[in-house]
Amino acid sequence: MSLVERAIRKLQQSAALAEPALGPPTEPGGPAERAPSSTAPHGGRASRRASALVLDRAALRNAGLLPPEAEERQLAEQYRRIKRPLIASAFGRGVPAVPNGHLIVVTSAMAGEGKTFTSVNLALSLALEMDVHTLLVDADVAKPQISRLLGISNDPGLLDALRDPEVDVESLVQATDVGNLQVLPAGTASREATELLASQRMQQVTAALGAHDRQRIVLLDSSPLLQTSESHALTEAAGQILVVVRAEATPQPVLLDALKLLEGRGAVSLVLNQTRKSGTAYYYYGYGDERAN
Amino acid sequence: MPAPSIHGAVQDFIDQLRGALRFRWAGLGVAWGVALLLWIGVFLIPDTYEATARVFVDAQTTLSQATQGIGLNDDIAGQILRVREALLGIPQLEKVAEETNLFAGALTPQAKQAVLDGMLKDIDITGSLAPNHPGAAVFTITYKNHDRVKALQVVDRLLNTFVEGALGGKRQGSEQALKFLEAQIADYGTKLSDAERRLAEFKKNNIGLMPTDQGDYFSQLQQETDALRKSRQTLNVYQRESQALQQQLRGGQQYIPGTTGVAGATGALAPTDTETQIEKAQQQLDQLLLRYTDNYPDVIALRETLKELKARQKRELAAARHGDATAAARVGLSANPVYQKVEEQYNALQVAIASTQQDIADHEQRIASLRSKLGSVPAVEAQLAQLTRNYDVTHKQYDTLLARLDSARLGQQAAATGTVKFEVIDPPTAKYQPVAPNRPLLIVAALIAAIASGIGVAYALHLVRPVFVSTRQLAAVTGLTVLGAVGLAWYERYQAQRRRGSTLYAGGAAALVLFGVVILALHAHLSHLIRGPAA
Repeated sequence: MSLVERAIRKLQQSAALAEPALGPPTEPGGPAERAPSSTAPHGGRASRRASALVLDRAALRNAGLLPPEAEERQLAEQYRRIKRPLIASAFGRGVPAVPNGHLIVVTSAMAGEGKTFTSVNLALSLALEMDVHTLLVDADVAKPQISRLLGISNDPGLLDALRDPEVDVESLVQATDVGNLQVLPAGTASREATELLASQRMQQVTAALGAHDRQRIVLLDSSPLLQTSESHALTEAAGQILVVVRAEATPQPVLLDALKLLEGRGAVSLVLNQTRKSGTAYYYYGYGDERAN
Repeated sequence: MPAPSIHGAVQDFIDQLRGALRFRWAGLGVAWGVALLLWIGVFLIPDTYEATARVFVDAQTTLSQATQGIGLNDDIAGQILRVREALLGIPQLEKVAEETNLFAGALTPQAKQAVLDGMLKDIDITGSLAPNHPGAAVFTITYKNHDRVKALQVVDRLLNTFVEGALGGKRQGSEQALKFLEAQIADYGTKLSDAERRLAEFKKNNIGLMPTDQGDYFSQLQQETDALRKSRQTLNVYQRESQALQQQLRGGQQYIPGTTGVAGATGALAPTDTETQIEKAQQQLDQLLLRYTDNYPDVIALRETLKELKARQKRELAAARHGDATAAARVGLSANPVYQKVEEQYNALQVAIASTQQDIADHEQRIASLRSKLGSVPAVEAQLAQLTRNYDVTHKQYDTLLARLDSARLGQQAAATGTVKFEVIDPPTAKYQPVAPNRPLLIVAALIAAIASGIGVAYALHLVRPVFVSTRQLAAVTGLTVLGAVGLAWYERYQAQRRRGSTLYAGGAAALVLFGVVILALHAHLSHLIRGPAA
């Protein structure tokens, strides 16, 4: 059974508890469908959303953010390996906890290396965890791909919370039909996005996000390191930085330049994306192999 | 990080390959470009033709054995080696180059030198001992040139020069020796004739002092002195005899009343002699007187005649007294035989005395001249001896030289008549097929080079722009933790794309190889097309 199907079933189960009924299957027009309910107004402490965001896996697949069904299993295994150390460092399980380790920024040296793909799939993988709540934040404010694909690009999001100190960021978080997975949109675009992200308000926001739930892992999808300054600001806030590297494409010096920018920041680790299948040896090297699984 | 291992090394290698594969299209393009360039170059290389000639050299002929002692039959192999070296010397090459017009277009000395250097490089003369013939060798002359005809010409000329040179290598030497000998002989001949002339002149100048058959100077002197003494003695004797005879003559009578015998002896004196005439006249007178008187005219005439006759008689007597034999006979006296005999003896003696005196005079003169040369005779004789010796020595040397010249001439003839035997096995030939360049080989090599350069370029590009192909590599390069690798999603789509690209790529690579094969198969025609027909 596929990952998303399982997630949907879980959602249905939880929705059945929370809501009388879910709406019919999604209509074409957007990968996500809002169950009839009103959006919470701005200002003040907004109530928790009653409706959950429905992820349209077909549309996501079309957009290239989800693998084809035939490959889901394989990819799931791969992400299982990848997420383990992240979780361990976030919560100090078996390894010393990294300060702000629950804040994980997913970035890359250049565009097109698979940050968003990694963010989405990692988020879904994390959502399968029993005791981890995952919050996927679309912090790629320059190109908020996730927000667009989920149809929430017009919803208030991170930037709004940063702009207005009065706003409770938690109220902007949206639940999805995948259990344990929440989404925070990018929010209204702003020219001072970098400054907003670098401001002290950002620290307050991330602190609030972290404080809300001790079991929460915040996954921030960032913009490329070498092409935007927002990513730079973002990496200041995070405790763990995951750099996505595209195999056989990212030039080594480029990556090394990007990594230089991360010196002094949180715990940096790498993921090699889009590797070509050429034997299983590839998947047995690396960090995960050393640790007894 | 896993420890370095063979597996790791193999993985590294595979990583490098995969990295280079990124630029496979660039590599293919480069391979095509390089291949085309190289193939064009291959066909632009001019053909080289090779002309060869082989000659068999045998030194073991019967004549050589005969001429063994003359010193001609020395190391033939060494000689031929020397000839080869000489053949490739600058004068020979220049000669060949001029004869075959290889200097066309070379105007400066440097250009000419370049032509000669090229010839040296392109000419090859090798020799090997013939297996079944001891002392014989087989020589191969080869020459390469872009022009087939020229190559043939050069080899032909070289062959001639080789044969001439090997023969005349000794012959030249012996010719030179001959010339030298001949010059020496001429020189000595001159010396010899000089010496002869000097000797002859000397002899002529000192003719009196020459040691003749009579002996040398001193014996000559002795001889003359003896002869002089003898002559003097003889003269003395004669003179005494002459004196005696003179006395006899003075005392004796030259004429006595002549007897008929004597008259008859003195010749046919006719009755015309005076005495008879007087008698006759007297008789006539007497007779006339008998008859006539003194006044008779006939008697007067007769008395006149008688007077004349008697006057004549007187005259004749006088003359007879002085010895006039005829007068004496007319007068009617006849010589006294004794007197005559003595007179004869006396005359003969005078003659003898005269001749002896002459002898004496001669001897004295000779003695005087001998004596006058007394001082210089020994020197003259010494000089003569020296000149003679000189002449003898020169003569001997001359003879020796002549003998040597004869010997050398004989030796040269031996050489000319075949101490070293030459036989041309292969006359100068040149295939119509060029020996170089080996176009098929070059075409294949060009293809290989093109492929290699394509690979090289791809790899170089990979090195210049390295990427990450494995987590191992990523970890190694960055020094950071790699959480894992995520495989390329949408693999089938990717595969399809790749397959399309791969097919195209394989097509391009196969086209290159196919093109190469086609060029290989048609290289002769292409060569003909591009280069024109072979000369």
